[in-house]
Amino acid sequence: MALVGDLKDLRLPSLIQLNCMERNTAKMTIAYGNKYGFIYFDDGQVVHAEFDPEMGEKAVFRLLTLEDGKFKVESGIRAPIKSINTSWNNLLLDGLHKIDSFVESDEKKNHYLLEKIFTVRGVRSAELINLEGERIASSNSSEGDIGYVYALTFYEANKTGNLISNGNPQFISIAAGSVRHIVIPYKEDLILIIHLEIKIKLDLVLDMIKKAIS
Amino acid sequence: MANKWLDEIINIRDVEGAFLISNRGKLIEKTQLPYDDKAIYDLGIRILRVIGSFHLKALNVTELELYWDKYYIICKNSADFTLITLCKSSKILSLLRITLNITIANLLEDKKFIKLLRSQVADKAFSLKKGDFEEFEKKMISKLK
Repeated sequence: MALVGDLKDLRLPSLIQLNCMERNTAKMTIAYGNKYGFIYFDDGQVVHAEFDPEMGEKAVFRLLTLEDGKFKVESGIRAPIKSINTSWNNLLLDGLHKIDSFVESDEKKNHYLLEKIFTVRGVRSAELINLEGERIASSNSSEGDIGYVYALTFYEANKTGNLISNGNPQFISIAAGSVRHIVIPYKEDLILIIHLEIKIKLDLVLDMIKKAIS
Repeated sequence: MANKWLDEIINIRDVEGAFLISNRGKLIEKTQLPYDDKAIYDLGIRILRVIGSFHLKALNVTELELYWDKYYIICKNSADFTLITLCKSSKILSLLRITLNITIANLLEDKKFIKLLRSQVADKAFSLKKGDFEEFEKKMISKLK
């Protein structure tokens, strides 16, 4: 049975990530007005895309800019050709980087930042808070609100940096229970929080996180 | 006493030093460090306040790591104490983490160390209840409770 829905409810980066993590072989059709786009998955990799007049990675990048439209995912359908060789997470990261330049409002920029973070392996959720611990944006509205804990963590870490004459730390990692909480300064007045599966080694994903926020 | 276990840590290349503090913030043991006792105490209290803030939200911190460009503070928290290590290279972090786990296990089996620790028992949020606080800390702590 095909999975159908609206991009307003389930955004394209999440859909792509879902199909790739499930290692699906499928055809995704996106209807935008009277135009149609197609993304093909093969064993969890994006292997081909079309969105008139573009094909391959360019088509994916253009499809990622769509904020509404209908989608349909049909399992078991293979791509007619292979036009994409980039791994799905790099493809998503590059795509979201590219559309950053088209995004103007802070709200949208924050939203895209969190979507980029979501492409990193093992990320459960992400949020942006201000220095007072108030939530600015979140990938998951049901995530427990402990912004004050992170704000205090950030403050104490900066004070620690001053004590050893090193300034503010670049990354703070706190392992608690099944989650690793990553606290990262973002711009001048925001703090990015990433909730990572504890089994994922930080050293392995640090470069991906750096790339996503750069 | 606990020093023999800490020596295992500073034998690793690029480790500057390590120290143990109780939940009350008392310095239990230290190796040679490039900072005076006041700075070490202040550093330990900052670390304990982070651990305490998570504890107030029922989150049990087991590891806390701070990364700068070429400097790292790696902390392991056990029930009643925290082991804090300062190092200058990311290349040894994996080895260091394993060594710290072994050190913690050795400390927990060291009867003299455990006996010493008994006089220092306090809950993990102790550092948020007593001490000198800056205005921002007071504000955040009041919101955490």
